[in-house]
Amino acid sequence: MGRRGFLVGIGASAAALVAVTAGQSFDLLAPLNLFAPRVKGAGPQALPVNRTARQAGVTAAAQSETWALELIGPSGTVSITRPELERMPQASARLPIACVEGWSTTAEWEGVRLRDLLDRVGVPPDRTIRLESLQAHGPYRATTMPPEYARDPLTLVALRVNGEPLDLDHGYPARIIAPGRPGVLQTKWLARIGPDR
Amino acid sequence: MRAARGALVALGVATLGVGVFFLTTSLTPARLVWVGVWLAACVILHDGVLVPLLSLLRARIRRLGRTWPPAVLPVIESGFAVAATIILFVVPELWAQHRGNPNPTILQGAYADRLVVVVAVIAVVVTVTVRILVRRSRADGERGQARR
Repeated sequence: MGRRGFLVGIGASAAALVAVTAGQSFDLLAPLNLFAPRVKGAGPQALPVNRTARQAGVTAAAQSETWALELIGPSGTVSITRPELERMPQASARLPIACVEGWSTTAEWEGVRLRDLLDRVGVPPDRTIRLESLQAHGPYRATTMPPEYARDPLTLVALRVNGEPLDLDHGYPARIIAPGRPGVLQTKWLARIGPDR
Repeated sequence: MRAARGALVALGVATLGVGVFFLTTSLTPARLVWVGVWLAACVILHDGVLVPLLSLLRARIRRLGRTWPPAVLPVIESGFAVAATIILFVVPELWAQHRGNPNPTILQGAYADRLVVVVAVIAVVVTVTVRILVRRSRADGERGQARR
């Protein structure tokens, strides 16, 4: 096979593989998605799940009646229940979960602006924030978030997605959603928010 | 030219260094051992199994196709490359499905059935293309002889 034939063969292979897999992230190719590990829009609330509540070991803690989001700040620690979060001013944002595994899906999120919660306990605007999950283990149970993300008006402590209360696998009772951050840093099943030490 | 080459070598070595640094500082020794096993297995599988098998296969096809027009071999080999690429992508998925998967939003497709269909379609496309090429070259040959 000459150089031209070789390049045609390699090009055809790459094009064929993209055609039958890229549909997990691109609507245009979705009908051709034969082999991607995910299907666009498949999953609770039309959104894929990377780690289920069961895999994370948070099924009981996340559904507990006594769950409350712990906010830590210079003016003290406050615990806010989900009904209290729901009564706070709500904001919405259309943001993607963009996973480093290679899929990306945009959703309509609703919840409380993170900056409103930080202001409530007096966290200075230039502080890096630490977000902790109910998860006991795992490399992403806690995330640090620089102030430019934490103070972004689109960064939410999300309570609802695509018009419904968050599914357990999407981080019920509350999760973070911020623009421009990879999916693994969009901490689910929030337990605690405060300045990073 | 020499300076450019030197700079490229330096850049490559530096990049390798960064990779090795992060690899060794972010993985546990047990995982590093597995990375080594994986890399060694790649070399053994590629050089020890795939290359000899494919070389034999290619020699066979070339001998068969001595009278074929020159465009036929690239068509067969390209078809083979496309099928092999897709098979290489799908086999780990089949393995993962077989192992079991607690996440209901991932790996739910009937990948094995689809793979059979796709490989069959590739085979049909290659066969039809080869037939057309062979028939066309024979017709050309006969016309050439008639003119003589």
